[in-house]
Amino acid sequence: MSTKQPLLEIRNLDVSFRTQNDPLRIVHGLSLTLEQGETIGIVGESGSGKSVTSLAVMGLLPQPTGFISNGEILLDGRKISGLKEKEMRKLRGNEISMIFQEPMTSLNPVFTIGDQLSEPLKQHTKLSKKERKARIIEILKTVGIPRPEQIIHEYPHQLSGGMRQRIMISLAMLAEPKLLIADEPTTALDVTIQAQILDLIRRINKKKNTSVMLITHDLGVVAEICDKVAVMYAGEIVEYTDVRTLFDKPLHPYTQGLIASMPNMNERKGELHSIPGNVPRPTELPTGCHFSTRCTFAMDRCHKEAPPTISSGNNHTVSCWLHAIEQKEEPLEMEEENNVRHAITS
Amino acid sequence: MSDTLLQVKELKKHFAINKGLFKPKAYVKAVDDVSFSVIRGETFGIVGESGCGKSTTGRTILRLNDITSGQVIFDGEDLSKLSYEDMRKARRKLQMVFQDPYASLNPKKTIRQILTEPLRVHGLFTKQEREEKATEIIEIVGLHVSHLDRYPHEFSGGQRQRIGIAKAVILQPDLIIADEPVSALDVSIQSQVINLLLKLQKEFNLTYIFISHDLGVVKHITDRVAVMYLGRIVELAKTEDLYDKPMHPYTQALLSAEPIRHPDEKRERVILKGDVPSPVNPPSGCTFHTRCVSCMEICKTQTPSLAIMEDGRSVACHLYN
Repeated sequence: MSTKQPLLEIRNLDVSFRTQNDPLRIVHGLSLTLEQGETIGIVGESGSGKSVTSLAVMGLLPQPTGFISNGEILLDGRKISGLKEKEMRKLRGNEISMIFQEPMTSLNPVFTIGDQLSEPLKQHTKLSKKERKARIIEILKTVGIPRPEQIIHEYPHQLSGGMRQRIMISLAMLAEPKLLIADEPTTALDVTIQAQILDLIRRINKKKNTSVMLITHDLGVVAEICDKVAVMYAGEIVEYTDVRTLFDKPLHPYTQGLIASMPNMNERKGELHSIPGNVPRPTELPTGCHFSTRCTFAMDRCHKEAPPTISSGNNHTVSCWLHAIEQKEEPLEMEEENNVRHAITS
Repeated sequence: MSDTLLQVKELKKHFAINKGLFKPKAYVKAVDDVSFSVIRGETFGIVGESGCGKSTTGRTILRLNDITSGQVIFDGEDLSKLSYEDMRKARRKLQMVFQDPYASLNPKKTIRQILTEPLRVHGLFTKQEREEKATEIIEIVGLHVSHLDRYPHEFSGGQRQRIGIAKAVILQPDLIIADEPVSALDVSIQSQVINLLLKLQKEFNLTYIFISHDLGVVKHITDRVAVMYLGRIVELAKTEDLYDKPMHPYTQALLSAEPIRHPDEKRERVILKGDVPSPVNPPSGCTFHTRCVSCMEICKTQTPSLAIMEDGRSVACHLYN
């Protein structure tokens, strides 16, 4: 621990939801680290558990159904999972902020932009009213809002989608958090506006050295701004590496399939590469490797045993039996424990 | 000459907004003077950002909206002149696939009822034949006969979109207008549905109008593309030509804004300033001039018309006149 502490560390996180029957595990055995100033992309399809992971970090899991059933989350070396709501409120909007997919539904329609932006400043700082106003106008300028002096008196419905997302970003950035979580920040926006917003996030990341955790289903967005990537499938990270390696040398068949099915990667008018089948529901996960039912390389073993997480150097890890064999079946220390837990859960 | 299936001439669709009892009505010019033709067997793409009128164009062709003015000539017949009943009959040949597979299927009906309904409405076949057709089509779109007696909520988004497509194809139409058919789907499912559309096109000799904001998908599937901005077509070209060398400044900006495919890819990006202006009060002259990087004096006052270039494309921009 002599080296610098990572800003965010997630260790072996399990998130479950209470149901009428047994609790349903949505995220399983998720570990990742994020250094100060880094941008990590969490990629996956709907139902892969990527948003639930971000909510767990924010302490915003739906109550009382969602809970962290195993593992821990550390921010700057301090354990934040299991903190009391009161403690968590001091962190949220201050050290960690989040922007959501729908800028229309995440702003309060009955308060002006100025009112909403002064909220985090009232909560976390001791600025006077005048100072708050100056600070708000300053931040609106940095996110590229024209005529901020007037905009602060307007309501969210008077703004366009791209503008609202800028407001959301300024709201998140007001307290200069160390970590910004962006859950599909550009999915609801047009490409030209998406380019503007990604550019803005990139600038904030560079200028303020804010770490960004970007949740997306779009590999193009990942290629644009991420340093490293975790690919999630059915609640688990299947591949974890830096962004170049992911695009140059993807190891997991799921990642390979995702990259190959981008329309630009295929010959025009030809049949697109596609991954057969659907993402399984959390209640119907196959035994063994969760991807085994859709994988073209699936072997007998894949249907029976959960794959180990294999390291292939340079912080590149992949959970797949294919690579386990190449590596003389030498799983990482953590993985045996992982397998045992797999065996316990039906 | 190639066989023209659909011709849209100077199509306009304006929506009235009530401003108040004694105030004059304002109009949203959702589609403003759009003309193009679609050749039998091709896939014609319409791209643009939200609010550019691409969906309204699709819906107006099918007369799901009333036409403000202009003509839609389908197979020699002017659809804009048909009575309501005749238009209903004509829709046997023109079908639509909608974006949201969650909202476009009746939740109270089984898939069997959903699929046989279009045939029943158009009075085609006997009951038994209709059932056979449904069985046939469900397998063609990659589902199983046992799915016929289930309800829409039992299916995933991708499967629902397959049902939506089956519902359109079962009538064996000539033209299918697909309005963002894959936008609501996950990446891995998206490619399955695109493959299905390509397969059906070959099998049934279908013509598609493919409306989408996703430039990658449009590049893959279409033969010709029209780029729309604020209710007008700004550029119309063969897909290869358009993507190789976009001419209109808006097309250039749009294509450059598409995310890169690889982290090492360098792209000169034209980042547009601001948002799409309101269609209630569009800018004078060329509607794009407020955001255009190569805006000239003439652009502010005169509306450019679509000019035909050497390679057969048309561009509405003063730079090329």
